[in-house]
Amino acid sequence: MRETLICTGKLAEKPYRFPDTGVNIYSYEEMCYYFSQNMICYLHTLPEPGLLHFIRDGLGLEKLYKQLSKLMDPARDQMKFFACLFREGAYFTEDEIRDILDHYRSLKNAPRHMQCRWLGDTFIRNGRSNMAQEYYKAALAEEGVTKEDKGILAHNLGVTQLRLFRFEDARISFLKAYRYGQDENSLFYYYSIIALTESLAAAAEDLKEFDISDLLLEEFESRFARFQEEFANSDEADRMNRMLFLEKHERTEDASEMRKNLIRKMQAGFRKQMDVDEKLLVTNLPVLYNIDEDKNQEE
Amino acid sequence: MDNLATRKYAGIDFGLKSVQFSVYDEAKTEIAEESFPLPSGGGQDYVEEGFSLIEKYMEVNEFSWEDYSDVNFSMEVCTEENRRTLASLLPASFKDRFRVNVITHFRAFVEYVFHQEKVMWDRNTLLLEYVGDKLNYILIDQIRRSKQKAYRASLKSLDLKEQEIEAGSPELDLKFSKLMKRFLVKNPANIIFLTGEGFDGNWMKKTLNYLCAGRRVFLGQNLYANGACLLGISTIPLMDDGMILMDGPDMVCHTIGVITSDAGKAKYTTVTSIGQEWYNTKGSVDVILDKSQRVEFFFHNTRENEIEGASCEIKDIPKRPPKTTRVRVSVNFTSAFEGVILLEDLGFGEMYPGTGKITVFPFQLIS
Repeated sequence: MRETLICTGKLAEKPYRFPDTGVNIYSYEEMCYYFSQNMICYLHTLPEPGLLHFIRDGLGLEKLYKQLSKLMDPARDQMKFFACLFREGAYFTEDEIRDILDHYRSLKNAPRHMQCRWLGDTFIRNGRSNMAQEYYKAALAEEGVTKEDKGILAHNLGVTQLRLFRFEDARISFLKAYRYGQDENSLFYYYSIIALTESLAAAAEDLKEFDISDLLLEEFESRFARFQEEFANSDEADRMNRMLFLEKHERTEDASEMRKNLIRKMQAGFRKQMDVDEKLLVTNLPVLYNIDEDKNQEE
Repeated sequence: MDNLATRKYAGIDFGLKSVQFSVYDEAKTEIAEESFPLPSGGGQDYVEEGFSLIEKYMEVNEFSWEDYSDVNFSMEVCTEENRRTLASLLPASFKDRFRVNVITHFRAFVEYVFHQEKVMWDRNTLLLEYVGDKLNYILIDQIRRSKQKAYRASLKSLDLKEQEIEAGSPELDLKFSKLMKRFLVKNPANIIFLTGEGFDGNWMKKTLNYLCAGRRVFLGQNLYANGACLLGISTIPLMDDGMILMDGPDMVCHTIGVITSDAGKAKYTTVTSIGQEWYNTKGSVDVILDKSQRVEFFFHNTRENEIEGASCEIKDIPKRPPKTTRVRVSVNFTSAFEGVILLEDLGFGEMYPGTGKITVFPFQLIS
């Protein structure tokens, strides 16, 4: 069995950016891989027409562009769109394509809260916490969600809130997550937020009402210490220390320039976390999106 | 009304005794030719001398390199030193606009022939070049007569002294015509081109009578410059497809490619083809590594019709999931039978950034 595959089309000079996840792609193979990993984003929609232009102009795959253009109606079976896309090159074998499409079918048939959770997971993985948060909230609002699932959803919601620096909301979410799922991990995050925003002593005091063992508290303390140590050795901490050093030695201009750069970098990273695409929130949410209603509105 | 913009292509041939300049004008659909004998009568610096004559000619006629869509060169002695000399003589503006493409006389003739209508090359075509005491000849013959035809061009040489033929002697015509009779029995040809100073002087009577019997014969001194000029218009599809085996010095006769998988079956993808000089033969292709980090190659000797295989393990690249490593495979020759394959780790876009690490895989081909 040969273990290399020939690439299809050319490597694009300018990438195509998937609006859902912000991932940039430059080749047909990257596109196939991306779709295989993110089919959850296309349960009720199809990729934007901009992708077709990228296929034609960026990758030089005119024939595929023409074929996919005929399959761009979301009311039709989306499977055909993806099957056509995957079969253009040799990136996936026929068995692999069948597996991806079977997985896609199972995603479509999954309960709505699970679809929302997976979408939330996809967004959080790609650093879009604000988007992820909306999906976790939607999943939690569903009826018939088991306690265990609610625990996971609340925990993940807490993580998104933590990334958005909404510590109070995150604390409540981790607390709820622990109450639903009894997962010690959620409790540790709850403990860490209090330790960060108040003090270690306050965090230990707060945990007393949960009736946890001393051993677990000790584990939390050492785990939190590890986190602190990791941060102390991080690039960000290094930059902070250098800034303080410059300030101490009266090189305020250099320190100020460094601070500006650091803030700019952090802002750029945070902007992605904050971004919410209203259109995606509607189109990606299953059930809420009804093509017939759209058509009626247009009429 | 303004004249429509038409393209012009130039070909310059550096011979040991003269330099020739051909220009193909799309509007006139014909080639204009100029020839300049080297004042010193040739020698080691024939490229420099020839180039200065071309520069003077262009200056007098107010021509510029920008007038041409492409410029190609051919050389009688196409050594690396001469190619480098030419590259150093060309102005920066030229190199910004064109690449310095130098071909041999052998290739220039083949380019000239295959840029003509099919009747000129579909049956055996012969070039006879009479220089000094030597008769160099290039024979183009069909070696595969199936639907996808293949051709072989071979370059050989005859020592006329051995045949007791001497330029300027009264028996030259008689002896040469006899030689041609013997020669054409062994190497039948329907189209014959004659070139070289040896054919000058109006001495051919019997020879021409024999050569022209049932054949088309052309006499010209600008064949090589014309061949270089026509190369600029387009490449030869048969050569691109590896259907012309060039049997001569400096010519690559091995097709190099990668063996990949397509729907579970082995697929042979060509990276470099045959038919060009080794220094003009380059190619690259992108592959995706699946479960292992090994790339398999094939080397097809088209002269002997033998295939050899080899594989190269790419080491020290970060661990990534299967099918998320793109590798650019580039083949470069260092001689007609040696070279290196470079394998560059391109990663997988932003998802798995490439390291840019290049693995060098030298190869040596069996002639």
